Amino acid sequence: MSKIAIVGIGNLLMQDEGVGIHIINRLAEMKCLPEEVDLIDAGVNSYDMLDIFSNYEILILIDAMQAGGDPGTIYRAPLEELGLQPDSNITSLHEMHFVEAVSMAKLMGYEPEILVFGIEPEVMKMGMELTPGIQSKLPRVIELIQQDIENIMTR
Amino acid sequence: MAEKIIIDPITRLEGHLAVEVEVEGGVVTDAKSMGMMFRGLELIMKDRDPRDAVQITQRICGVCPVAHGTAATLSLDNAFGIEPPPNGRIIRNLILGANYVQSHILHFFHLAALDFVKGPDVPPFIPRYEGDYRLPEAVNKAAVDAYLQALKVRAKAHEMTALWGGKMPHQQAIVPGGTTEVPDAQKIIDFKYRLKECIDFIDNVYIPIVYAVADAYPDYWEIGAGCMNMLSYGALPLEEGMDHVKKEKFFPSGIYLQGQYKDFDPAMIAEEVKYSWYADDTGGNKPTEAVVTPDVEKKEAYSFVKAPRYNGQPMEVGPLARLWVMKQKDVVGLGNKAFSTLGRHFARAVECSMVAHAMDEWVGQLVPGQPVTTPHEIPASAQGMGLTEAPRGALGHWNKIEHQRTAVYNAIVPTTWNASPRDGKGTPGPFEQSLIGTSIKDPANPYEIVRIIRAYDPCLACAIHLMTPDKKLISKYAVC
Repeated sequence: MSKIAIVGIGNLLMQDEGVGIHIINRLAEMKCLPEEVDLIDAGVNSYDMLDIFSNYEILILIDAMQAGGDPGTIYRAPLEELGLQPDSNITSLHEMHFVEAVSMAKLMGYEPEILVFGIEPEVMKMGMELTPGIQSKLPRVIELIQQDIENIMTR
Repeated sequence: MAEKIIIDPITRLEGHLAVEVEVEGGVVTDAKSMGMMFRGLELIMKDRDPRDAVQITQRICGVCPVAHGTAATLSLDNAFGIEPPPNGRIIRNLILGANYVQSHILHFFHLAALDFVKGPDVPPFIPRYEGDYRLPEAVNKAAVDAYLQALKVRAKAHEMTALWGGKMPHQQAIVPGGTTEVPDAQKIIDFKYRLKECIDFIDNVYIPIVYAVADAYPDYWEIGAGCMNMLSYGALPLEEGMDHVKKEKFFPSGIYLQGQYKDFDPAMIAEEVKYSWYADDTGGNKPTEAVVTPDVEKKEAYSFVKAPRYNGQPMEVGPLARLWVMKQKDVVGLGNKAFSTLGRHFARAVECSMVAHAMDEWVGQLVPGQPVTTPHEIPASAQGMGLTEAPRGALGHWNKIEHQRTAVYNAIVPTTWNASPRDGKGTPGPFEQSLIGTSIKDPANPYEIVRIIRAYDPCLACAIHLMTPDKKLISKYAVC
């Protein structure tokens, strides 16, 4: 049995930017997932995600994603198809995006299967509440994640 | 004719640290350090249960949650008039100490070393600024090999924090009055076992590589001096006592200002905003009277970072400042060469070893069965100051409680000191002073600048982790 985790990424203090964390919290309350699936609130920790990428074989990542759609648009794609590139010339540890952590994990010999759910944000200002438009999308995202988990479990 | 080099250009929306330098005749004649600070934190804190600060401030940043949790807790201890029993104090020190070890290793091997060590021609080692790799081939190879080993050792250090910190990455164990985790023999053994592996790596791999880099790049003992004023709030208390400044700590509180060692007085800290995008340019704000109204139209302003000053002077914070203030023999023995790019890397490596060895002693002082926390009540009104040292420098949180709720909250983070813009008198901040006067060999590959800045281990761009995929690709992945 593969080790599976659902990981929320984002800043809980920046409204819609924290949507991934809100979804993790909602999933934790619902207790609707098989026990063997771990829920991880990765917050804004990017480099520490290395430990996640090297500990799980299948990962579902949830994050805010600015891809040009209307606010609330839900995206679903394998990570490698998103065209995300590690940043060049990083000056600060804090700029390490999780994409760098994925490339580090690869160097260490870990290549987890990563599926990404992105939600187009509306407002990213200081604040802990999601905007209503994004909030209303949460049930749909959760439904899609549940379907994916079901598919993964029955492979 | 002056040429402008901008590194990591700042947009006003996304938070990146940026420096803009003017080069004339191959020498930096002017430098501006810019950044986005988190703004309006106090708006989130206001009217909440004061204890929420411990969890909320850990969200400020992805690399320093442990340090923010520590500072927030100390400011609550201070406001509540309580302090942890010895077990609680020691476990807090182990959590923060393990965080130092993982942060310093990560910083050197995965961020800074690649400025001096030529990695293989594959990501994440490329792209890079070309032109000045000088390590002998065998040493270079050893350093590249250590890159992967460092990742594994860092994971051990991270586990050491998690042993006492509970749920990671946002530790839950540091609470007002002490910690929630109780010591037992198994945890102590698990901690010591991992620590031994870290110490082996630090003493036998990390420090020798820093020496090898210093041998190959001796000119960096002269490059990037900075303001040469050092500030340490002090951290890792070694005894009980309510006065943070006076009590004995592994890193003592202290100041080195214009060539003189002085006692540290928190009342001398003020934040100026003449060159920052905030309303009100009177300057000299005390931490609990912070100006936070953004004003992006402000003339002359060039940064979201404020300019904290101590007695009106810019101060460097970080490992070099801590070790210089404590008069650590290897660092002070360097004399003024310590105030340099290599001096900062050297101090960080020495400190990493010191903290690791000290933890081996501290973990043995835990007494299973004894309490880890002191009970408390939230006072109707109070004021608190929490001073500590994040791996990258002095970190302070200030709170004011009214009607048992947070009324004012402010945090001055380490890089606010180091990356500060000019102050009301026009004096440049430490980064800026480190850059001005530096010779730049090739403006297309300004490796001197990134080496200088990275040696400080800056932090700023921590507020947003947004995914921005290739937009042409993404439309087909939209689902309904």
